[in-house]
Amino acid sequence: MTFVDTMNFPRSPLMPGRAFDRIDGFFNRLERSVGSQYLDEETDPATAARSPLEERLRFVQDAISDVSMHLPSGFAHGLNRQFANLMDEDAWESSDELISSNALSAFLVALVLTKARKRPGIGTNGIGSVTAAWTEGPNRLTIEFLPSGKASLVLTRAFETDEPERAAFAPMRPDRLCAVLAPFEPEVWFDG
Amino acid sequence: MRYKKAPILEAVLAFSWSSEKSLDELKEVLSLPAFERFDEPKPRIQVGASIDVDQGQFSHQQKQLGFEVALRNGSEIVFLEQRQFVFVQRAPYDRWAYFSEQATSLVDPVIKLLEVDAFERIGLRFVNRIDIPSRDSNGINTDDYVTFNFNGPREDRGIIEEFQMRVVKPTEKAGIHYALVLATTAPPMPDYVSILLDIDVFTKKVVPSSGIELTDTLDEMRIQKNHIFEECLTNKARELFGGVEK
Repeated sequence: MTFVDTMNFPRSPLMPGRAFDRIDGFFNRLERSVGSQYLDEETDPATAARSPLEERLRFVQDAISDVSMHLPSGFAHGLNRQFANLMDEDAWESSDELISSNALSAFLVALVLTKARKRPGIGTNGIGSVTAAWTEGPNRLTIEFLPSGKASLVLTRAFETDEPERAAFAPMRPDRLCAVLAPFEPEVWFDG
Repeated sequence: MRYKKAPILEAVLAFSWSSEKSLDELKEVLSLPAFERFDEPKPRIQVGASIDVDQGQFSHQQKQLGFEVALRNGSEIVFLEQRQFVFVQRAPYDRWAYFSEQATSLVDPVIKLLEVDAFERIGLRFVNRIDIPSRDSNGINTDDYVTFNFNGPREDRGIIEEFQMRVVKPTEKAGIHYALVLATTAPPMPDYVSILLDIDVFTKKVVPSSGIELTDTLDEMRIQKNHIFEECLTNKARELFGGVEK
């Protein structure tokens, strides 16, 4: 048996935090009588009443959890704490856009593909982006993951013999990051 | 034995009882010291809708089933409802000892305060997602990764584009059954395809809420769950899990 994943099931990625509810809901709908005059008990899985910021934090944490098996040990828990602090109700500016799912997705893809073993500092710029920063002495790398799903970056890289190099790159697909960073020997940031 | 990169997306232990508890009682439970490390409880709401086609009427209802509490880092979630307690461990999953200790340390004070003597149903559920690297647009051969497959009536043309299957049946142990879901699902990253393997082992017998029978039942359910999981996998799938730790 061979298949191509068409992303049809479940109809979207497993809903964070209640994957089992999602799966049950799918099969319950299959069991319902389509020809019935009454669509009885069309109930959704129970959900918790949360503020939009809390809801988005749960979304972010669950997205991190979903890729945690592809990250180093302890990485996901640390990231989830960082986002919990960043998105604290008391600290969050109410005028800021919530973190975009595209930006978050690009951030997570980049973490997995770069095989980063050191967690970045994280932030947001108020338009829904995720900013990740790695600093090792004079070597600095800041990547901004945008709501478009692309990533732009600026860096300072100090090699032993030369003046520190500075570079900036316009938005690119996150899967291009490894190739773009390779000449700068990015292990200095990612290996910690 | 455990896999270094276990594909467990979510591990769930659920305990259900027969008599409905009040929301006030549930709220009192969540104020116990065992729940101090969790964030403030949130009401757990279910919205229902019905359509009367003849009358052209639509109605909806909203009911609070109980409460939800979660750790600040989102890794552990508890649903406390009028007839059930559910402990959810999100990925990354550590090990059984930690998971079961966390669940039982929370359910013990719940059953004491709510005076639950027996569980009508216990569910042990592990939702696994097997992520398979695939740069090939022709898809993957699932027979390389899982041991059960679709034997359709005809060969047809091309390949299976979508697949879902759910089977519910008893295990060899009296009173212990399982539901097994195998399906395609959205991969978390580009250039991967993913298979969902959801194993829900549950009781169809009344089990005391404490004591050796409860412990033995949980142990047996875990054995069954692990056995089903291993029997579903090929070695090629196991190679994706980063080796094992003894």
